[in-house]
Amino acid sequence: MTRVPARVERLASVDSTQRVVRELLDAGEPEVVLAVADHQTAGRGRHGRTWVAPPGSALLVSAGFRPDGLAPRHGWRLGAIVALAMLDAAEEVAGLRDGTLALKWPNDLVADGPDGRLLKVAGVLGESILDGDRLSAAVVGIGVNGSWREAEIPADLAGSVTSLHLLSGGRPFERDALLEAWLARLEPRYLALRSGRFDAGGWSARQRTTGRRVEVATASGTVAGIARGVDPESGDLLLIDETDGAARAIGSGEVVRCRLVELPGRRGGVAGA
Amino acid sequence: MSEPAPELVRLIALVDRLEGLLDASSLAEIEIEAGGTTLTLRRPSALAPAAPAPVAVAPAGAAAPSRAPTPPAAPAPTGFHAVTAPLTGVYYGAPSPGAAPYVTVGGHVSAGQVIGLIEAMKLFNEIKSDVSGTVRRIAVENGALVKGKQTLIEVEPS
Repeated sequence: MTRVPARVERLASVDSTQRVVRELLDAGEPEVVLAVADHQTAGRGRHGRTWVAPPGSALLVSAGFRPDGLAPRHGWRLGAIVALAMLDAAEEVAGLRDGTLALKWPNDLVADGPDGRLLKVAGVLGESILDGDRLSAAVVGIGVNGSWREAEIPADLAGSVTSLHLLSGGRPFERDALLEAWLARLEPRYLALRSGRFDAGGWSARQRTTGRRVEVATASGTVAGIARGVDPESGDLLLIDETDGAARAIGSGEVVRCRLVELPGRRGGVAGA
Repeated sequence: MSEPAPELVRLIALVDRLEGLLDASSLAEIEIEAGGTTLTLRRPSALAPAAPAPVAVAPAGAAAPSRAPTPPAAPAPTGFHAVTAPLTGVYYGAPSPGAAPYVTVGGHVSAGQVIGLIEAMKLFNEIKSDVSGTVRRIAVENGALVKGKQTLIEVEPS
């Protein structure tokens, strides 16, 4: 029987919560197993990038799943439900207006910044273990910028990140309350996913990239154009390539830039779309 | 010794340049047509029937990947076992940039051993070998887009 969570490992300092959960899964621990850390010394990011947060300033959590029946091509939906549950939980716990947070394709949590820029609030990264055509286990990690004040944001991230503390107008960051609120929302989403249901509409509707000009770094170089939406079956980002006007579907890449655009016939761009 | 014709010099320079492009890409083949001349560079691994590999990203709507994947390799003529991709995504042959590769040609691989990662939508999927044996060929390049069922490595079972 699936329990969310079945086990929680609380750690003061750890190299990576992903590693802790992976080892628990490898040792046969039943799902859903969590690792929560005050501080990560080697938090993992995409392409070996590290995730940096001062001790206690962020919610750093990894969850280990054994999603029987989830097809490998739908494994990304684990990242999507982790992000959607956190989006709702963070808006509630930080007292944010609905719609303050959104997704940046595929599953980063962002808020609107000045000049139409998107400010990152949380990042999601996952790894899965495949046995043939079966997804036998997966670990999804999320790191939420919690208590950062302006002066605490590292210089190289200034202008590209924000925190729940800043978005809430100075509320104290309540990490344990956020964790609890997230788990309460993750459970129904995960049980639904296990029974073959996915909140495709919610995932699509919260994509802030839709209607904006995006630049996406892909394996074959950067693709730029207006994002037209996402494909909830494949997870692909759909855009109109500005070099030739052709419709593209991007399945793996990183949105490196995203800005508001003036679309013909629409005044004031698509802010809040 | 007479100078080679300017056309020939230009052609050789072009072949050199295309060769570099081919090496740096995950394409199996580059074809270029100018005037009455058609020039095709093909990787040794891309034995016929190699489908034309468009350089541009694929059109939307067909569950298409963001770039043209390397055309599926021809079946191993020697009867080696092909370990195939279970899903579409970007293939990585090492756990992180600069790290040692999971497998090397000539090296041993065990059934259940991780041979690479396929990233799709920021989920890194560990791909395992389903046989034990000697790695005879690595059929895809690090960082290239692969399609489901495409051959990743070929193993001589032992």
